[in-house]
Amino acid sequence: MIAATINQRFPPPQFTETGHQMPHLTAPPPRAGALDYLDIAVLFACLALATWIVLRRRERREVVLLGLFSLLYFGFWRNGCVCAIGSIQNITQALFDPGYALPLTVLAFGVLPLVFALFFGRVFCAAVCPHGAFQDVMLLKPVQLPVWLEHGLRLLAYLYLGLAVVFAATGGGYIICRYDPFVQIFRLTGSLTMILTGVIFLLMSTFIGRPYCRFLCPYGVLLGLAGSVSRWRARITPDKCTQCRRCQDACPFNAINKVTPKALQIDPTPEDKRRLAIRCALLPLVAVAGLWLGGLSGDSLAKAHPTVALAERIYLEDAGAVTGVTDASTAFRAEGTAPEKLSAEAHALVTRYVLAGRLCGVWVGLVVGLKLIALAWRPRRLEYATDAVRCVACARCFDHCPQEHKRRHALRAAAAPVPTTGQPG
Amino acid sequence: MNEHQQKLWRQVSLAAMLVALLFSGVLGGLLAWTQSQGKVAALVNAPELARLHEQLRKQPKDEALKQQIRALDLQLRQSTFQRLNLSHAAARALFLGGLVLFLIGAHGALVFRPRPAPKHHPHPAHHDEEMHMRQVTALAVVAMLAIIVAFVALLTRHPAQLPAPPAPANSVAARGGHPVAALPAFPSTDEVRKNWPSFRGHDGSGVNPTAHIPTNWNAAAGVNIRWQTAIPLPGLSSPIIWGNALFLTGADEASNCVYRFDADTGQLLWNMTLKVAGGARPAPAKVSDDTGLAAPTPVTDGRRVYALFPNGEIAAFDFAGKQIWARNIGPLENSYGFAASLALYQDRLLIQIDRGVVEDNQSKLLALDAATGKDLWQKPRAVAGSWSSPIIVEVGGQPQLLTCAAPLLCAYNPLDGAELWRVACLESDVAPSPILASNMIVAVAPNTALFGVKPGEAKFTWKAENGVPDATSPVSDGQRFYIVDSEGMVTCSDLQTGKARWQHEIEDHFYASPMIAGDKLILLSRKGVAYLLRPGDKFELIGKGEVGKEEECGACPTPFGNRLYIRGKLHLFCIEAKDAK
Repeated sequence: MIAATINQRFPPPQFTETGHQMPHLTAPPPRAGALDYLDIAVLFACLALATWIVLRRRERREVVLLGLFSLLYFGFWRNGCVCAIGSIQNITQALFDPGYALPLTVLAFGVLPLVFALFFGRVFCAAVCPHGAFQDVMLLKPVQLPVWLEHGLRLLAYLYLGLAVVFAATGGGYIICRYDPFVQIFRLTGSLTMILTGVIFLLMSTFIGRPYCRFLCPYGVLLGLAGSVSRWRARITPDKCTQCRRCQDACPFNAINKVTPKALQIDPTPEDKRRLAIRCALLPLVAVAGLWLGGLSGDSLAKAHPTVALAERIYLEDAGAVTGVTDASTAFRAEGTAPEKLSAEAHALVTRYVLAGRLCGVWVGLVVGLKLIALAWRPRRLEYATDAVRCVACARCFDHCPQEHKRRHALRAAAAPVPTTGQPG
Repeated sequence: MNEHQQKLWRQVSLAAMLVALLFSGVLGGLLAWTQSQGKVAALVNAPELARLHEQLRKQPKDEALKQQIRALDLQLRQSTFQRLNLSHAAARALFLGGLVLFLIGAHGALVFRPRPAPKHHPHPAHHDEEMHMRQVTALAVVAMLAIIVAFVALLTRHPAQLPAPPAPANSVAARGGHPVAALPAFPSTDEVRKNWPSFRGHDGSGVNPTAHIPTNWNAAAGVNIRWQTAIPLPGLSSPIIWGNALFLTGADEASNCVYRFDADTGQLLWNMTLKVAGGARPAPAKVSDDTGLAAPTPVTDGRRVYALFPNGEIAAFDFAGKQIWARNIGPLENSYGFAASLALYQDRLLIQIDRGVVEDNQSKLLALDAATGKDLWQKPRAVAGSWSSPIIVEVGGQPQLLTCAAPLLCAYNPLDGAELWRVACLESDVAPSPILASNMIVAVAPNTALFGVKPGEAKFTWKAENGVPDATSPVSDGQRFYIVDSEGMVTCSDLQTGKARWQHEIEDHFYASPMIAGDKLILLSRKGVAYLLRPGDKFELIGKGEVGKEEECGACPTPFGNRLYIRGKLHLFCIEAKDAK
């Protein structure tokens, strides 16, 4: 059965009279099941260790070392698979496709980082995610992007998450994996286009901190939402903030919120209230617009599904609108299934895509609407603090905080042996 | 570590970075080169190998050739595998060596960089900077949303192209609609041939070789009448069919209308009146009673139906009856009234507008974009007014548009209107349309002569003067052609010589052109009587059908499948044998 599913990569020799014996097709044995549990154990250990380092040790160097381990283990050793980011799709498919059995490893990779984020913030991003670690070690000369650009680009991650769920739920494929810029580098093979894309991301990472994590990563969206309610997440200083603002310079991710000047720590003005009211009123309108636009795009999104693509190809071939045939269309015709049946399946799928597109549109609409509402709010912050959603707990700010330096000095002094007087007893 | 040592280590680190970058750059280039050169497909598709294989097919016993192929095959394989191995080695070296070296150097450079003094941060200005920034950010979010919307808009322009789904009851599709955008711009030749999209069929021949119709029917007695439906307004246009959609036009002085009927049930699915935006509706055309206000037969491409009326109004409707575009291309006035039916080639709507006398220079061939109705091109024609319809035929694998008007039988390229050839042989008021059968065109100079012309030749092959009709067009079974004049004289002639085989007079009057359905020649008289003859070298009446003399039939009947559709003055009839499947 395995042999039947394997295509010969190279054509066989030209002549048979030479007596050349074709080697039997072989397939590598599957990975031992126990190693899957090892992956889960390593993940859990890394998450626990990252939490301990970020919250208790507060050592940037240790975060980097753990990140390098994760990069080597989850990235280059395990070839970027299984991966928490891609697990979104497996979990989505398991929810919508009763015939799909979700592997325990994938479930663990999808859920464990989220559970940790719920309590401790994005410690997964800090040192466990190979994608994040890869970009982090590449960051040499960080350039801080304007806040407005940061917020604008972050919308892409929400859109990407929505599309990934749409495609996974409808059987259109795993776009997160297909367009993962780093996995082909981890595997040291793959399409030139995707390898070049990965290289471009890495080059960008030398100036822009974690561009994939901040502006595209769909799992980062979920971790950010979970982290926003975390109680024990990374804080710049465990003591009182002196408002020296050094942490703000240290953070390459625009993830530190500024303090509100005392003069502006005022109650909302009538203008603020009016703005807020307008944006609240806009929320359902944006959501409905998303519903409408998402529905419109469903017909086009459906082309990603192999059945729809095949039905379209067969139709265009029959109509003479395209020349030649594809492997898929040739196989379909050889199979003898009626094109009408294929077409009916494709239409049913298009209907699903229209519905999924609508839901995705509502999701994006709600994100935009809520973001606009959040931006209409007049903040009142009494000290510099990490942003609960955006902070990836990289621990850079710790090293720049004078309060943290004082704390470490005190700890070292406490740990030092008490000097003896040297007098005889 | 003192300052000097720190500087030294920093320089070492920077040098390591540089070396790593150069290393990676060289290997990256090598990788890209091997990627482009070492495709496995090259092994299969090597042109030289393909050429040798082709040669071997012709000389299967050529041992030297076999050896040559073996050698080349081996060489290609070795070359391919060498490149692949090089590619893999380069990839690993690039990423595991170059990258690690680069990172070590880069981080060394960072560690040993001179530490600048902490920045002095001025206190924030006391104006509302935060809220201003938030407003700008909100604008950025809206701008990103606009980009996403633009992306979606682009996406929606490329929907999945699928055949129309089965229509649920009471839906727009049930009214015949289907998403035009979901279809290719125009139908394939096979699709066109499977239907009856224009006047006298897709090639204007009046022949449907696969049709199978009964040999007798009677509308009054209900014999072999599948259905009959009243037509809202009169006209001489013929029924056209796409799938189970049957289209007709009708007009009076107040309105020009297009109808869609269900070909299976006869139900009038929609009745749409043309509405040309802007300006007053053109005055009704001055037409003779014999021509009427809806003589041109519409045409369809399975996406839309296009209808032209003698007052110059032309429009396209989708299958659900929605008007897609409409315009006025008039004036079309000529004596008797405009009667040329529309032709369609791919996405070009072709209109033969012949008016006045040759010297008036008013005649032209006009092409419109079927999707938008906009002018594509027009070609002046040095001909007098005519009532003949252009036909699209295939000659030597190439499409030609044949037109008849005194004095020219003229062929054009339907794509760009370039004149391909002409024969000056016609005269008088030309109403019959030409036909092409067995590489012979039959053209009619009314009441004067018939001409046989081979496509592309500058002169006619034969000229005949037997039974020349005044208004009806000929029809051919491939060996002979048949004509009937308005007084009932039926003539069968040899297609290649024009010599008459037989003549027979039927005591009736004819305005509709003869048609062939399978093995039956149909002559439909003004009194609604269809005389069914067996095509051949002798006159043989094999049946007769009647729809009633009050119907005053003048439109060509449409044979399609097991049915014959007849348009009368009052009703549309569907003739089908009771036991037909």
